[in-house]
Amino acid sequence: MKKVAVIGLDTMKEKLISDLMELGVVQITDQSQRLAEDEKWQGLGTMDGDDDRVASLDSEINRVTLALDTLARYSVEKSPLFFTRRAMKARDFAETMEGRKSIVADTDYILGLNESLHGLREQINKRNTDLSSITPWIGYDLPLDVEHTEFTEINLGVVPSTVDIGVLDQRIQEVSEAVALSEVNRDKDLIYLMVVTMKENQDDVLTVMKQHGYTPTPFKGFAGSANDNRNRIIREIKEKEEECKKIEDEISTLSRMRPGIECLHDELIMERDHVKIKSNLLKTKRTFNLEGWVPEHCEEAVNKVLEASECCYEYRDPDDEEEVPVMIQNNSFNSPFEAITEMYSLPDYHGVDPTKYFGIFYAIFFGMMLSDAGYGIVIAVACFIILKKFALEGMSYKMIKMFFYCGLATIFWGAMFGGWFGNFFQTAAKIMFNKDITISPIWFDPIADPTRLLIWSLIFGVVHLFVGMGIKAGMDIKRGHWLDAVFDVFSWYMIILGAAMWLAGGSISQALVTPGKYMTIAGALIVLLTGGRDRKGIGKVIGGLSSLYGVTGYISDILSYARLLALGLATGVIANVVNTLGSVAGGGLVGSIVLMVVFVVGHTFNMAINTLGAFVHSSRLQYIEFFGKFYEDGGEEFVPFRKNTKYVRLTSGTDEDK
Amino acid sequence: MTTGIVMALLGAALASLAGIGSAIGVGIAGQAAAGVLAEDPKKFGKTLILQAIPGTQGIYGLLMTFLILIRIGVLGGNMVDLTPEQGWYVFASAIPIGLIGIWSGIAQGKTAASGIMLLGKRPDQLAKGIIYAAMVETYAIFGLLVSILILFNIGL
Repeated sequence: MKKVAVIGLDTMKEKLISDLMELGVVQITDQSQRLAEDEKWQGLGTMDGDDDRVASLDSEINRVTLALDTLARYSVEKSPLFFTRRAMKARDFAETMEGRKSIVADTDYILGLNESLHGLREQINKRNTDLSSITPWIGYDLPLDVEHTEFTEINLGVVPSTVDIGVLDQRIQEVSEAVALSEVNRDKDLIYLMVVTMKENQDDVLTVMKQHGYTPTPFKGFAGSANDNRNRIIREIKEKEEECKKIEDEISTLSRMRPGIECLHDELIMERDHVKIKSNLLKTKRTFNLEGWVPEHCEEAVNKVLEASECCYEYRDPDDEEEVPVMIQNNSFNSPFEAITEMYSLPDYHGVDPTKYFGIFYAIFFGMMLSDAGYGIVIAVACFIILKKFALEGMSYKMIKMFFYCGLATIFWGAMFGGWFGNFFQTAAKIMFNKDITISPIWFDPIADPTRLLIWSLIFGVVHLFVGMGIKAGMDIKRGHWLDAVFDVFSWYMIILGAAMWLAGGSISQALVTPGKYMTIAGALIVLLTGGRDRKGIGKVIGGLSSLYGVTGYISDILSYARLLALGLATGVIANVVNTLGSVAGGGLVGSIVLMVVFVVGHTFNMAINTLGAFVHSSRLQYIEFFGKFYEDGGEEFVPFRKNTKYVRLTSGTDEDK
Repeated sequence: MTTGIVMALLGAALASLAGIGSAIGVGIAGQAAAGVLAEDPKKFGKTLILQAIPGTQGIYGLLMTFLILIRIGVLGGNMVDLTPEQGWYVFASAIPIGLIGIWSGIAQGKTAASGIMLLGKRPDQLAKGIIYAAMVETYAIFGLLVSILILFNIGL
């Protein structure tokens, strides 16, 4: 990574920004801080940028996004399993954009439909509220707009259902002789009442009523009986819903507008980014100043662009205290495993990218934990088809490709351990054809001899850990601390290897035991004597002891690899159990059908849960055991200024599609 | 000998008790998942991954149960004649995963629930939530390992 500083003429600014966006390899950094802190700069220039224009473009993008969402919501087309950007030649894109006016009109039309949908929905909601308030009054057959006669007032209202109507009736009779109270309806909470009073004692009666919790429920603006109104509202709701449906149907026929609107969306995004990036620039009256990070291998291409815009530029190496963005690059086998690294955290700029070291281990461990060739085939084939069918990009591409490799590793280990959907083929041959066949594992069957696989798991673990520690040693040596490598890494190599030879070597050759013993002791002495080298006085002794105590850490790290055995066995045994369950119905046609049903259901479940397990635990072995030995993380991702399109992947005009 | 086979079968049953831990753990995680989903239904798939993680203890228990049943010939073969001591051996082999499974399942469920909360606020940190939950699982795996080592080294 290098930092480039550019000064150019204002007239060339727009062209340069467009070119840089096209190139997409420069991360243009914000310079506002420099302007705030450095007085010399303050006198020279001011911030560039146009916030209003950015805001107006943003709001336009929002409108277009809403239109696209609306289209997507009512679309009848099935959305694909994976979202991929459409490949489009720059020329075709430009051609589409020539019809921008009509696309904007399309967008407005869709938004108009969306708005009328909202309006209709609101009306339906209002009517639903009316409906629920009028429904209890169905038994009331006077027109709702008749609120009084010549001498009387008609009051409609509710009291809580706890009120005793008899008592209430008596109380109002005491106030006025000419009063009629009748109950229209009652439900769990409320009693619906009609009270007819003379005009002159209306107030007195209502005062008494209110003491009993009476609330009037006036029906303003309703004409006719409650029942008529109810029917009318129901009819109206139905009509409005039909209108909604019509509009929704219309929207669903507008899918043809989608490609154009998507182009518009991406065009707006690019325009917005073009304007927005200027706020990272400084300007004087006639010139501008731009700074950014450039990966070293892209320097030449950047130079060409800068020279084309007649800019003056200068590269420099990053300062020590500067936060340099990180870009990780690996060969085509390892790059899918970057997904695992990225999920953890990117390496520090001065650290090591671990991807190229753990990629192969990740696949091996995944395969050992899933360890069924049948499942491996399913995963590998599924991933292969997805990769062929969808032009995936970024993280999802890496993930799928990684699972493809993991599937291959699973096939390998499944064959080694003799698991093909467990013992399905043996079972099926027995059930369907009454024949005994055997599929022998290439290596050995872990279910018959788990101890052997345990030992191998731990051996793989030690190899994995040693690689991790080796990277640490490499980093130390590269930074000139080769003594650290000897004291902190090689000493532990001696202890672990020596202990393995001392304790377990006897089963291979007796000659290994004594050298192993001395290796262990020598290694332990180095750790004991050097562990406290950074401390003073008594701390040196304690430091050495506490370093040697680190042996517990190594033991737990190594034992952690026992999960390779445990998860592998889990897959194998459950797979066999599924097959055993499938064979309970015995032979013949029925038995075969039962077997097939159980096969599909059982193995799908087993594969899903164990693939999750293998993924999680293979990741864990990298993150905790492997990364723990050396990894320095915390880098910021390198985000170059580029065409950040969402729907369209622009290819240069002459290129053939990928 | 009846005592032998009875003890062995009790052991098989005991191993499957690890499922208690998974049931509670998956339940706890599920409650948290539903809460997060109320905010953003699109996270269903991701929450499901985290919810499934405490389910493994039950599988380990089931695995051990089947290993015992196969070993003593109840499943797919002739029943082995066990002495009372052998029966007790088999019983002992079931204890680690049976018991560790219960508590590690519950603890993992709680961790997974926290991971789901994390997912609700910072979806980009999903992997770390999963790893926290997977840390707990190590001890269930050790339990299973001890169980398997006992069962396969008692000379049945």
